[in-house]
Amino acid sequence: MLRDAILPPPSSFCAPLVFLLSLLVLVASPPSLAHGQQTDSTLTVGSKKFTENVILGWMGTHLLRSEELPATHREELGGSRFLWEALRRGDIDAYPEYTGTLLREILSDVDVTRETLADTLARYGVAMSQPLGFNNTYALGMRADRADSLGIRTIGDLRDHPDLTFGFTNEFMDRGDGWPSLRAAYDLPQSARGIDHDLAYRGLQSGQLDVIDLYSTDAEIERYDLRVLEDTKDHFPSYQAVFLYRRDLQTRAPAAVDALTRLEGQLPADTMQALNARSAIDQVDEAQVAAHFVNRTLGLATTFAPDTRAERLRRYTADHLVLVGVSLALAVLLGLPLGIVAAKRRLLGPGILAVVGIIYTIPALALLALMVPLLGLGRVPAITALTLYSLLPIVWTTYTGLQDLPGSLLESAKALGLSPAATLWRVELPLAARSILAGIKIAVIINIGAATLGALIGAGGYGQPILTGIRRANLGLILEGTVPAAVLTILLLGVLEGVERALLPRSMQT
Amino acid sequence: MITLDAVSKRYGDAVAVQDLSLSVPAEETTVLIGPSGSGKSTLLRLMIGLTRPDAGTVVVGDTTLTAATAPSLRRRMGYVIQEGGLFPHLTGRGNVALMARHLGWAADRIDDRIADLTDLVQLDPDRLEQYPPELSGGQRQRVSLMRALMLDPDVLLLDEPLGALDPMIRADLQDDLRAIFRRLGKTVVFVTHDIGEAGFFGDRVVLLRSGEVEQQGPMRTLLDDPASPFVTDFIQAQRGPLEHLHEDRE
Repeated sequence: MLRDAILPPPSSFCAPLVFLLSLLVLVASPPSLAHGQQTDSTLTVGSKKFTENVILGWMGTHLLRSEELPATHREELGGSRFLWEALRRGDIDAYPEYTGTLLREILSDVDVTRETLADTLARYGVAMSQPLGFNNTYALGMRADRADSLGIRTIGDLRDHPDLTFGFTNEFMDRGDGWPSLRAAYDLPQSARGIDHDLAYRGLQSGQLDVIDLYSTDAEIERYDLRVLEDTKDHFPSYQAVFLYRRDLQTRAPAAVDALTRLEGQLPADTMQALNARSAIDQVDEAQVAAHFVNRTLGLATTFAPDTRAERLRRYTADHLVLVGVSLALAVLLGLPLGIVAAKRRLLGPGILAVVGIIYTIPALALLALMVPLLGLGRVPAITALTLYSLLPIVWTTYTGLQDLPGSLLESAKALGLSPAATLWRVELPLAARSILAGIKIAVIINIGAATLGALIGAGGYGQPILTGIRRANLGLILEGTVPAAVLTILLLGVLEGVERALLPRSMQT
Repeated sequence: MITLDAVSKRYGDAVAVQDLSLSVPAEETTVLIGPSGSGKSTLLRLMIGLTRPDAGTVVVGDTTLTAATAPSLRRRMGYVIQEGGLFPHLTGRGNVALMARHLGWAADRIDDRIADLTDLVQLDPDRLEQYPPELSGGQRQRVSLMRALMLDPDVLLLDEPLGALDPMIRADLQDDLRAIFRRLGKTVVFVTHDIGEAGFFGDRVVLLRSGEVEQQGPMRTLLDDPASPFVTDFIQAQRGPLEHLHEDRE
């Protein structure tokens, strides 16, 4: 199942730019970045950004490690499409998926049934384990007290209560088996708005929402005393949990396939719901929940010591600094010349300003999403997206800084006999420096914030604890990402302030 | 030294210079004067190639001014404008040395040249370490003149260089400038709308009206033998020049 927006296909207008830029990123990055941070022999398990999938991802990772296979876990990736693309590209080797999602969403354009699913996947170079045991289907839920007072038991009963407020995950809002087709199937009069799944539970609690979409193994069903409305028309398909893995794993690392398939049939629905509750409600780290399960059920001896806060902070900071540092450097290297060309070439100028403006209007999340099919997961696509995103302030302030210079000064330079290039270098850029530095400062602020989204495509950074914190409704974890990001912003702005003082003559300082 | 042949320049519908021919003799000070809009600044800009003529040619020395020859010709001409046009991000020294540094002069040579020029324009050397916004208007114009003279040009073009200064400082600078012009013996073209200043500086005065030459010659000729009532009207609109003429006769 997909809990996140299905991402739009990459639009063609920026594709050449993206390729050019990613080439630059590759050149500019240390070699270890170029291939998703790991060597070829390391196996990578992916997981989506919700508790159950993260736990399953950790189970797979623990099982691989128990076979002495080097394995890493890229947890909390931004959506099913990301993982599917990443699996096909080889950025990851395996991830937990659901049959309903495969049939209705990922392969919705293909003629495929549950019976032909494994053969169809094989055509994409993907293999599928037997079901792990539980069926985590979509459902609609309400608070039990509210449902009782209105006498609602089934989805069809909602028809008689047009005033109810519906809040669904953005993915549910437009997926094939989601709200539009459900609404048609049951002839429901309500309209609905999109909302993050973890926030939806809180909306339901506070009474701002009456009906949300949920998953039949959600730990919150019991915790919040929710009523799961009966799907009397069997609208929702079956969502059997399986492990997907690359077919080449069968030859590359047969032990890995053996390890992953040990989970087959081991996870009945009540077991999964209990594991989800351990994490979502008791706040136990998913890696530990998964380790405990595989040790007890499959007789492994996995020990997993979660990182201390200091270790985590160090890792997040290192990741975040790479994202921000490389992308800002590239944005300056690209943005400055683009701004100069925009200011100097009447014909090109409006086009350049428009293109960087349009790029900026793409929501940061969507821009990241555009990168995944082109560049896969990890730092390269994240840095590429961040670079594109940081161009706007730098290009525009360079442009306006140069445009706003008094004509008399440019004439003076010309009258002295300076060539256009020398005028630019010795007169125009120094005079526009304040404006350009202001643009770079804005880019820093934008970039550090947007870089937290990099965690959604496996680039790590301060976004990782924020994602986990939102998922577990854990303010401490959210602050673990937001506070250092704010501190980093202040520090970097301080550095730039120092650069400004060092670079600018006193006549140009305030 | 500078010859304009049948030069015309319009800005949209406005005629700035109309079929004008003029010869600026070498090693003399020629003053361009006339009311606002008479084309005197445009004429100066045409001479240094900041404005391209719509028709006609400009020849400096024996080189015709074109886009290709302009950069090298400009290095043989110094240009000073009303507010000096100094670059605010450079100190006085930085402004003066800019072109020499760009051309790769040795540091010693630059320092020597600047020391000479500081003497010439009578500027306190400490002022050179200050930025233009930190200098007075008169100091800025002295620095601006140093910058114009740095490469020892044959020609010095000045576009109302004293226009923004208060009278006392202006008088001081007028004296100093005239002394400098006489000492250097360069070809000077000086634009002003002040008839007194024109008489003070000009070996020759060119009175412009609506983009054409109304009369040219020594100031005395314009006074004693005006070519038209306009010349008389223009001169009589200001009283200043008569005093200087008395001085000159003595």
